[in-house]
Amino acid sequence: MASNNCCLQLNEDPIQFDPASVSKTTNVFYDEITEQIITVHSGEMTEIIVTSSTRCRENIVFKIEDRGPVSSIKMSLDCNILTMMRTTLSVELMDIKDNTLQSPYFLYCKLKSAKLLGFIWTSNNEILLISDKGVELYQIEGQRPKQRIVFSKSVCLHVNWFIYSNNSKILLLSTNSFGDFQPLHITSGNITKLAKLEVDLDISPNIPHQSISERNIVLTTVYNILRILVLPTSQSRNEIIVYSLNKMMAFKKSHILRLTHNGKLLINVVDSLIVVHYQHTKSSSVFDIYMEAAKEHTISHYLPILDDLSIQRIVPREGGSYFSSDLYSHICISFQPNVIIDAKLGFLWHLKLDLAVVSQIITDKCSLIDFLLLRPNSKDTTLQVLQNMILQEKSNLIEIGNVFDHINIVNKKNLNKHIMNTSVLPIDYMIFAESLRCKVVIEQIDVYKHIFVKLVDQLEKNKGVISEKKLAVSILVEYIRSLTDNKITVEHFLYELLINCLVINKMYYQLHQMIQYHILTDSKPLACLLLSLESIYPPAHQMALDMLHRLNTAHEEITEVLLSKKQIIPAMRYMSKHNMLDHSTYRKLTELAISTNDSKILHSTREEFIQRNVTSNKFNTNTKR
Amino acid sequence: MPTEVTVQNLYIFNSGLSKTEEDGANKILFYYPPHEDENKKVLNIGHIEAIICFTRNFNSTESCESLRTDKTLQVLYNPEPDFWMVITVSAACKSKSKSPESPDEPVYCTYNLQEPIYLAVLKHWYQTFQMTVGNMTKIMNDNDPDYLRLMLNKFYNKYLLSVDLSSHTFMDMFQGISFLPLDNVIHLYAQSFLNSIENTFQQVNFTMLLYNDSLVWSGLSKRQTQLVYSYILMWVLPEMVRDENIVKGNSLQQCLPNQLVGRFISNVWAVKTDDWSCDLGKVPVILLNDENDETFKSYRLVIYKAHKSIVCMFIETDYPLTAELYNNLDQFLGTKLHLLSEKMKITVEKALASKLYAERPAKFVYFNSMNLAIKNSIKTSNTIATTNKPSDFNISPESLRVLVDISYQHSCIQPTCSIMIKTSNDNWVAGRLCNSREIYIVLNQKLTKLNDVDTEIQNLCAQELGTIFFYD
Repeated sequence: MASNNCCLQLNEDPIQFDPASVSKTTNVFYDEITEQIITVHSGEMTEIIVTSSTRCRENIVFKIEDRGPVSSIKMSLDCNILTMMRTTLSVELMDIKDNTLQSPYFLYCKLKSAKLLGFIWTSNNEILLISDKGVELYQIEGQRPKQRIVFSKSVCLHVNWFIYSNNSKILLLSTNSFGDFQPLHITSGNITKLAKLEVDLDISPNIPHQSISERNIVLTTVYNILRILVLPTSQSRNEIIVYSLNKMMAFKKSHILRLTHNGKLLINVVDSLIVVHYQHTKSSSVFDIYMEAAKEHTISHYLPILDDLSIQRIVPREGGSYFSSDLYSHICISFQPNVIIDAKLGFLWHLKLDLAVVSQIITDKCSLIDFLLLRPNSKDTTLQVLQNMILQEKSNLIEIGNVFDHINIVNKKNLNKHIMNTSVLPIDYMIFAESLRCKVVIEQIDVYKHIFVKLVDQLEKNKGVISEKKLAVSILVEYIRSLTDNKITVEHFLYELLINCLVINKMYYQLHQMIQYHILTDSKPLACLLLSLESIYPPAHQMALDMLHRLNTAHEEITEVLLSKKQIIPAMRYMSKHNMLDHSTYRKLTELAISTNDSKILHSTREEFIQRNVTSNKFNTNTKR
Repeated sequence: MPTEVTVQNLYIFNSGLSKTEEDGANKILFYYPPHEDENKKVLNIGHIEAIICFTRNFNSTESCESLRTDKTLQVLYNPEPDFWMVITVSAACKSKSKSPESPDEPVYCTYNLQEPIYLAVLKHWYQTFQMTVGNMTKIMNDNDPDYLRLMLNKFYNKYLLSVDLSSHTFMDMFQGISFLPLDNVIHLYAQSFLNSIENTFQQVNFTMLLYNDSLVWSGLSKRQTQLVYSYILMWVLPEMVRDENIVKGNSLQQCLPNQLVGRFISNVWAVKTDDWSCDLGKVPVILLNDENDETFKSYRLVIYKAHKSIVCMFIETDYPLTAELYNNLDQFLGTKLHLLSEKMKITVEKALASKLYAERPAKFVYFNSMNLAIKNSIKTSNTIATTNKPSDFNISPESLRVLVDISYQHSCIQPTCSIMIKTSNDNWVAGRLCNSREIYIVLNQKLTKLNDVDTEIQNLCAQELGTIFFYD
């Protein structure tokens, strides 16, 4: 089992594949785009095993004649073509039909004397060849088996090495060893050059220039935006520089992650968190680039939000036993976003984050809430943290208030987003993405269901401690304060609960003051609730009538309230002022007037209707009786 | 005609304390003026006792409330079984040229004295005594009558010295609370602030917040709030104004040198104070009754001021007050209270600015017996830290007397009514009672038609009290 005190864990059921250690002729390839492991056993008959790391399909096994060592092998995106590279001149394509490979056909580099560096499937029918002289894009036209490969676009430039992100279709080419990069945007049938990028490593001038190799660059998506992470070289400062793709489609230096240890690093991204594994110290740090951080020259500098974590792995042995060891052996390799492969043992793990453990590690509740709200699927954990704060630990009120503020700022942003969505105005996509920063929104109904209902339940159960009872009211008021501060309309059920809470505590005068200062927004249901409180707190009647009056739409309700108190003359005056006296009301009024046994009232009622010329037989018989 | 009201005497007695004719003086618990002849005291009390007994023949359930003679008005109040409070007032007209033949002979005008005012004053004094000292019966049973006499002396002498009874008018009948007009956001800040005090300092049981002389929030019950509010207006605010004029450097300041933003208000007058540490001044002890079980609990009242606001903190007497607690409170409260107070100042001034142009010839007083809120057309009381003396309330004594009469009428009859009276100088005085709310209006306008007066009143209600539902 995974160790309990680490919030970063490997999944318990890793993908197993034939490890590279079986024989010297076995090679293992992992494709980030299709998330497949391809194992190649060279020999007289070369055996190719394709393992899907997402378990979306069974292993596929092909056998072909040996035609020399394979330096790169990939499946097309729809898994219909197996592609491999054996020489620096051409790519070999083989159609797959009924799980067997068809005879190969070859794709050669068009550029003269170019050395092929690699190839990428950029869509179902597009393949990109990258050579040291440039980039070529080919399309596969026509349906199988009569398909043909058509050249569509090329870009000529010197390439050292390349790195590709399938999410954003961005290809990053290293054009020299001094940190100059050319990003390309690959769209259907087209290649667009983006602004060049120069990575400066802030190296003191007396040290000879350090070349930036493939190992120093990680291209990955963090918070839905493509980022380049530049890892430190042996001479540079011990920090990771993050470049982000902005809305002008240019990479700009945006964040700096201060590392706590030296040595070789592996990078993963889990839930938009950047995880740095230090092989030397056998520990990991976690960075969140959307948390608040100190700024230096407009660039935020981050320290790890979680540090010195140790990830354990459990490897099943033959015979059902397990052995556990730490992850940080040099054989392990990380792939984006969260894949860790041990090619020697033949395992592929997915790294995951245990939020429940995180919530125990981060002690500052506001940071914790910020952290959780940025994670997907963290709603339950966030509510659990709130529950702990309010129901179990009894945190201090100021802290609770701050946490509410953090939750409601996100809540408000989310509400604004809805307004933007419903408006007809075209949405600036990037602004939209910005407002989507937080993945989880804790709404009023969530806090109500998971926290306040339980709080009031607790209150009703253990009658006694006054300070605790008052605390419940204070917390509710604090939440309403936070909502009002963020200009969020408070939902009725919160008011209802607050009133109930005040009534349980017998804090009637406090309720009165709150109504007086319009802490509780006027509404008909609230007025009705107040009316029902009249028997235990008589002034509630007056408050309810005032509230109905302020609403200005509750003439009927006011009349009903007055009539229920046998205030017939006032009711009638009120009705006449609002043009509510007609045939339908006089019978009711007269019956009520009779029930008072007061001849003056009866007379006035009758006169009112006679003057209005509303007479009928029924009316006359009633009054004559 | 100006009337001069004088208090002839004020006494409290308990008939149960004297068994025979000889020890008649025993029944006296308090007597003002103190230098009155002993026999006269016993005689006066005997006289009243006779009246009480005599009137019982006519109504056995309610006792006599007042006695009117040519020269005096006596008001009686029976707060606890066998305990009676009696006040005797007389009124002389200050006539200038009416009776030139006999200038020394005062002309009495007792008809200008109104019972409801003095009854309200007696009740309020008794309740304040109950809050600051305790229940009379209980004090007597726990100690002895002499101890009660001592307490009553301390209390009533102080009150009689500092209160000019002749200045008591219409406004004193309500003992209303003036609430600070605030919007809900600022009010929520205030609540949140007070809640955080109670949460951070477990010793603090209740809190109350005032801005100048207006109440912002009270954690106490209605009756408690009313008494504490009037106590603060009477003893804390004037003290504070005086205090600020004295050069700083009292012992409290030396003890707690860090009070930069705000400060504690110490040495407030009270019958019972707590010398928990002689260096840090005296703290009043206040008894608050739990409305559920009628028991009294004593609290220390610690008052802290910053900017224009004061926070009252009620701390249970079980908890010791230490310099450390004071320092912690000071650190916690200072800046927060100051900032909150500044925010309140901005909103209040905004509200005032919008009200200024809407000046009307009418004067009004609004009182809601349900939450004890009082409001009048004199807005200055909200900005200047003084108690709202009736002199500010610029209405002629005649009109005020009419208002008292209207109000007294109100309490006797139906729940809703409306009265309009034309005074001798062609002004209109009107009163409306509706749904436990009272509104009194003095119109300085020469209106002839009753309908015009009614319209004017309606307009005033709509403008000043639009958020309130009136029906008639």
